[in-house]
Amino acid sequence: MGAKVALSNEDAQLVRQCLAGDEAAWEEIVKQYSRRIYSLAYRFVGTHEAAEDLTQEVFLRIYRTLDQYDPQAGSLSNWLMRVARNLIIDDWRKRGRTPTEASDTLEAHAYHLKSRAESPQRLVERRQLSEQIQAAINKLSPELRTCIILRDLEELSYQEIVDLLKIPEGTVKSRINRGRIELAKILRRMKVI
Amino acid sequence: MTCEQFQEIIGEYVDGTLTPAVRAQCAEHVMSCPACRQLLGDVQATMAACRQAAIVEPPGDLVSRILRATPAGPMMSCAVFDELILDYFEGYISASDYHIFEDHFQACPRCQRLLTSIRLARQLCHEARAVPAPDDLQRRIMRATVGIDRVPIHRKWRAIARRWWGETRAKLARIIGLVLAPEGMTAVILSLATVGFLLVEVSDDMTLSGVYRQARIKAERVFAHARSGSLEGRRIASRWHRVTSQLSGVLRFGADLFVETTDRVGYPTSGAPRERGEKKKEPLAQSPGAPLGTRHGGPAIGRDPR
Repeated sequence: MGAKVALSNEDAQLVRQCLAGDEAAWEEIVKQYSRRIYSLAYRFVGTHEAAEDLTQEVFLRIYRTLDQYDPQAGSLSNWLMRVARNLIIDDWRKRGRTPTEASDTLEAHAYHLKSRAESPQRLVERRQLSEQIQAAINKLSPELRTCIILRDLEELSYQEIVDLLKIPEGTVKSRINRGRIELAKILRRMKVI
Repeated sequence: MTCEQFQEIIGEYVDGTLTPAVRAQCAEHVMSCPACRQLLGDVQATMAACRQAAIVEPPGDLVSRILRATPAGPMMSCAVFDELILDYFEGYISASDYHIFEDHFQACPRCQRLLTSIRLARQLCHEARAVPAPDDLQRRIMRATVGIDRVPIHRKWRAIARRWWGETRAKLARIIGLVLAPEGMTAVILSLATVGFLLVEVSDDMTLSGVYRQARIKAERVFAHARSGSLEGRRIASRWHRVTSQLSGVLRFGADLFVETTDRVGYPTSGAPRERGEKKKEPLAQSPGAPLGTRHGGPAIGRDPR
């Protein structure tokens, strides 16, 4: 309980600094959450370029609504990711739920490799797996895709998905179930599993 | 449990959210059905692959790109922006707030749309003209209020007189107010003091006509003085003119005498005045347009001596 309160105070302090114009505090927030938000954006939109633009847009919106964060209501991480998920899903719905095919080559994303401390071989494998999973997710219907991303990639609980998508829990469970079976079949056809 | 039933809850089975009884039935079915066992393995492998590939590495410059896109300095939320819109349009916004307001406007599409809409709406309101009333509206109002279409003529005159008296009374009140004001009172006192001074000091019988009479007498005196001064000035001027003409005659005589004397002695008299009818002498100096070499009467170089 004490640790939670301390964390909440830290979050509140960080947000206060940001609102007062402290650029270092804002940079800390951007560095801390840009990876997670970018990953989520990429899973929905399907290309790195669109994911970059969307991540930037999400941070701009967060920047403008930072004063709405209430430390009493929860941690900054939860608030920030909730805002980001809502924005990304809204944006995806507006785009007509048509993800662009991940046609990027490995060379085009070579810069991704340098930020990791793993062996080059391992990085290439991870990269390949990530692209294959993305290609398989792109083949799912929009409803199944949303639920699978939120459950198996974002690891949200059923209740969180219900709250986020405003649909009944039974529907969420059914979509997750069907989505997993569909995804498994696609990955088997692609010889990934 | 059938394969269809199992596949309907396979997700929950993997997540471990089923009741122990249903979970036991599922386990039993998986043991007995190779196809469902295979599917279960695939689903578990898929979930593991998803977990492994959950994080996608962003490009290295993403953070700096985001930081560049967010304006520096204190932040302004959309809520604060909304509150400042009125001050912005009324011109009461402070300089410091104005800059943050502008920064927010540049960065926020929502607030750009809002401000543009408000600006447009204000403009339309300004441009809107009064709607012309129907022709018979006045008649209908008269009928509805006093029960007749037209007001009798004597009532009209009475209304006009009442209005005139109201306006006159308002004007009088304004004038009295001006007089009673400190500035007005000062002006009145000064005017009365001036009139009193004129009556006591200028007039010979303490009346305004006496002031006028005395003023006329004084003006006539001043005029007579000015006239005599003018005649005296003219006399002095004519005397001065005579003196100067005599002096100039003396000077002219002296100059002629000097010229005559110098001619007799034989000095060159370039620039000196010449007697009328005197013979012109050969100039010693060369004329400005003559070529070099002719200065001393010799032939010019390169010129035919003939």
